[in-house]
Amino acid sequence: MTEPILELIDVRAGYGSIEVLHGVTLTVRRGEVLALLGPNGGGKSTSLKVCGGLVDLMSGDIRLAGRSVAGVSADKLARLGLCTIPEGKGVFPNLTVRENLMMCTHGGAKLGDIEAIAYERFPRLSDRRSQLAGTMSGGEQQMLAMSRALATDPAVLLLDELSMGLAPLIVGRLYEIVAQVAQSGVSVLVVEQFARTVLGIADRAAIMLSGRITRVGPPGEIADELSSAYLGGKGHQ
Amino acid sequence: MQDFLAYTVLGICLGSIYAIAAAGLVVTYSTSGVFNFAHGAVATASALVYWQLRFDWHVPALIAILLTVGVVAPLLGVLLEVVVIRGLRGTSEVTRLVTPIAVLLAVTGGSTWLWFSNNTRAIVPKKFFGENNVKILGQAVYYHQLIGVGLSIVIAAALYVLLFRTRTGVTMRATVDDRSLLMLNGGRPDRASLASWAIGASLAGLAGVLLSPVQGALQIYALTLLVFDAYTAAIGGRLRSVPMTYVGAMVLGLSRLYFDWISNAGQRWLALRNLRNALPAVLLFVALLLLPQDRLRGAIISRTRERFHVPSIRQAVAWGGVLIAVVYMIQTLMSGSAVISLANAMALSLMAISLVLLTGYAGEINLAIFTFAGIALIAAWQFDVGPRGLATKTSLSVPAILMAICVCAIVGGLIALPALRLRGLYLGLATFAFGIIVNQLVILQTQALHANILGFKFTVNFFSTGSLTMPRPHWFGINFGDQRNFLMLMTVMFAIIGVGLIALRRSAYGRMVVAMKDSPAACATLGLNITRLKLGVFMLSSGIAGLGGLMWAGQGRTVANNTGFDGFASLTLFMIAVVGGIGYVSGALLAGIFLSLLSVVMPNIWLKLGHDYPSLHWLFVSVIGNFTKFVGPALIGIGLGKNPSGIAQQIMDGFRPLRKTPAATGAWVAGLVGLWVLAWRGVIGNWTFALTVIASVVLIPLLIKSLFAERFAGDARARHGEDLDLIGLDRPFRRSDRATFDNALGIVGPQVEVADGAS
Repeated sequence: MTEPILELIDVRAGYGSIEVLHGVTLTVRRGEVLALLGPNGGGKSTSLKVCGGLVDLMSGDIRLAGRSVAGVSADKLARLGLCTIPEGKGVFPNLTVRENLMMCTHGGAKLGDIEAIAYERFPRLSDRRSQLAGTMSGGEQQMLAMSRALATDPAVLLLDELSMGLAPLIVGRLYEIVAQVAQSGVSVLVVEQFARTVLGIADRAAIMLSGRITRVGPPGEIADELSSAYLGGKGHQ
Repeated sequence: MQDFLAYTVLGICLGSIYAIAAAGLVVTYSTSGVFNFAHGAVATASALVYWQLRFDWHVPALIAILLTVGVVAPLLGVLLEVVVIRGLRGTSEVTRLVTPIAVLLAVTGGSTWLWFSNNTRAIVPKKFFGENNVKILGQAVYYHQLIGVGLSIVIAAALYVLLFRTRTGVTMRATVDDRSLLMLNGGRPDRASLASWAIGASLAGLAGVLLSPVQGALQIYALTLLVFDAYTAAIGGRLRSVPMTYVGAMVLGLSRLYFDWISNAGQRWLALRNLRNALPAVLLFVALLLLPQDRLRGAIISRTRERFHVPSIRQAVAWGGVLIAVVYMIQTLMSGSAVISLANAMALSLMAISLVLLTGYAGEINLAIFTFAGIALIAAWQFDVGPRGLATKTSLSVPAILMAICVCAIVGGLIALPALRLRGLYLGLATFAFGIIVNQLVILQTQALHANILGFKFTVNFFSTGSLTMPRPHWFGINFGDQRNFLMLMTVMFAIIGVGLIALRRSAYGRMVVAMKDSPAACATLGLNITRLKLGVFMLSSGIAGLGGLMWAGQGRTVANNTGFDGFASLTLFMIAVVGGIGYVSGALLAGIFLSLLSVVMPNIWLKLGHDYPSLHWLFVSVIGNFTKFVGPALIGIGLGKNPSGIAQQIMDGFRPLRKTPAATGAWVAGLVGLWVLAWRGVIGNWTFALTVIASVVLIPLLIKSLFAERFAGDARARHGEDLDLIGLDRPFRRSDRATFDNALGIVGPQVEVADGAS
């Protein structure tokens, strides 16, 4: 349980000339759910993009299962077993549900198997397999995105703002599935603005403020400190 | 009935080839999001390659077709994707339209150079299996046509399987939807894009080879336009659906053949003889009318790489004055022929300036600027000269100009209406189709139109003698028939319109126009009527284009019906205007100068060099001269992806530091004026003057850069590393930041201790 699977080591990164992450060090251990919390604009999503290979490092290193993967492209990382569900809707709006699932077959998996897993978990998708993903509701789109995480059997799952724009009931349901995925041995790094739900399933949590990790600890302790962090209090001092 | 069946069979044969061409277009669009304007050019180049292999080098037909469609065309597609299309990521729709236009011009120019520059030999492609044919429903159908039908069916099936049943095909489509998500899925968007361009180009090549025997002797522009017709079919399929594209292609092929049938091959109604060639363009309009309303986009544009500054009105007036003064000073030094070249450039700039408003400010597209020039010319000529002849009218009158502007504005409004509710690309295609229709039905019209409205009889002569001669103005006692006077008239017009446009851009109306370009959705929620706004901009821009066109016609004096109305000149002007910097009035000025330089001045210089040094004739004329003439303009356009804001901005950026050193600026300007005086008095030669000025314009930005390198480095640090605005935003505020602020603001005083939290 304590062996690190994904490590960010003194990572500096940003967009163009603006640095967003000012030396982030964070470790996701094998099989754990790590929740990354914090207010808007703190660099949480950027941290996930760096892990997923969508934003280049300025300095520092990223290790996946002990191997440095700094500068490795997003598609290679995906093939190495790093599954990112990006913020918003992680689906292709102009492809059908079935075709969206087809995009998960890069590891040599059979489309039929992937469909079976997805439809078993989300029967509603089964009815909509020929529908364009962009025409489905937000919750259904998020289910489709989650299917990818379930079906590709990744080593690490990165989740960005799963709750965005969704009803609390659906958010609760989605996080139940995240918990089940984690129990099957997948390490999960989850970014979330609304902390309550996610703290319920996390093994550890980290607070991120102004591009730095200010606190890492068990969910219970973090929950107490969250309000002051969100209110811009003394979290960073 | 027998005729009907026969024409139906032939229509399906033609439609099949259109379907192949259009399917290629749909493949590239639906998998890369770029509308490949160069599709027709790739088809034509492939047809020429096939001809070269098959008939000049006598390669067996099967090997020749495999080499062409399986190797050369896909390689061309891959080359385009790697060299050109990849650079277009994150650019606006205009840039993504212009670059393929540049490729189109480069490929057609290159083909002309390779196959037609030295001799006017006839390249006559032959059909597969010659004249062998079978009778179907009583109509003789060539094997060649049967092959076309068969291949189109095979291709339809193959494409369906590829795009919807294979992972590669679905990956191609996913690339357009969301590149980064595809990468997160482990897909490889670059490979998918490469594959789609290879397939698209291959289909274009096949269509080109199949279509080439239709026309007899192969003509590059005619064949390219013939493949353009297939664009209509692709629009019918909304650029995405292959089956609908096939339906569109059949409608296209059948309508063409049915028109032949009912019009007795064009003999029945002489005035409509050219309708056959314009039919696809007419159908394109119909298809656009049938397309559903476009979804209102949000702020996609905010992420594009194009950025334009807007000068203040005072600056604009000052620069207008500088322009008039500079042109006046330069023309005193110039010989007659050089003045003509400069005036030609200014006329083209006047046409291009209409695009600054339409494309630069409003983000809409007009690919038929020369068509508006033609319409303005016809209107003004009809008003001023008419059937009475030139003898009665020696000056272009102001009412005629106003009339021409109004006609252009109204016509512009009418053609824009069907496409206004759609995206910019469709408006661009609609204007291009409009250009083709007007060219075929009006400008190439040899019949005079006799009309009788409310008992008022009149006759409209289009280009009935093949050309129209336009009198130049004679106003306020100034004879603008004189070339130098006319140049100054156009310069003053350009300056006035330029200042007017900048005033417009700075007004509330201008802000609405730019807001519409940035986010139509946000505008609509603010209660703006986007359609009316677009319509207004399009009409105004068409009017300006008409005025520019009149001046262009006046500059040429006599305009023949084959000068620039076939669409390619409009494409070139549009492309060069975007390259010059579509968001700037100065960009339009540069566009005119570039076009004049590249199409007239440079070839003449190389020709003269070749004449002066006969031993190097091959180098100067055959290589460099042809290169600049055929490929040069296009290459500039292809480079656009690297610098989508245009050349005007690059130049301005180079000179920007001069503002901080007024003394240096003053010295430089004084030096230039001094040089001009010397040249004017004949102390130094004109070439010395020209080269010194050009050298100083090129060198000064470099010089500034090296002289003030240290200072700029500091500036850049301030901009990027320690931007004052950003201090405290991206990290906690520190005590040392206070010192930075004090330093920057020049505050020296008692340092007050302030706790971090309080700041």
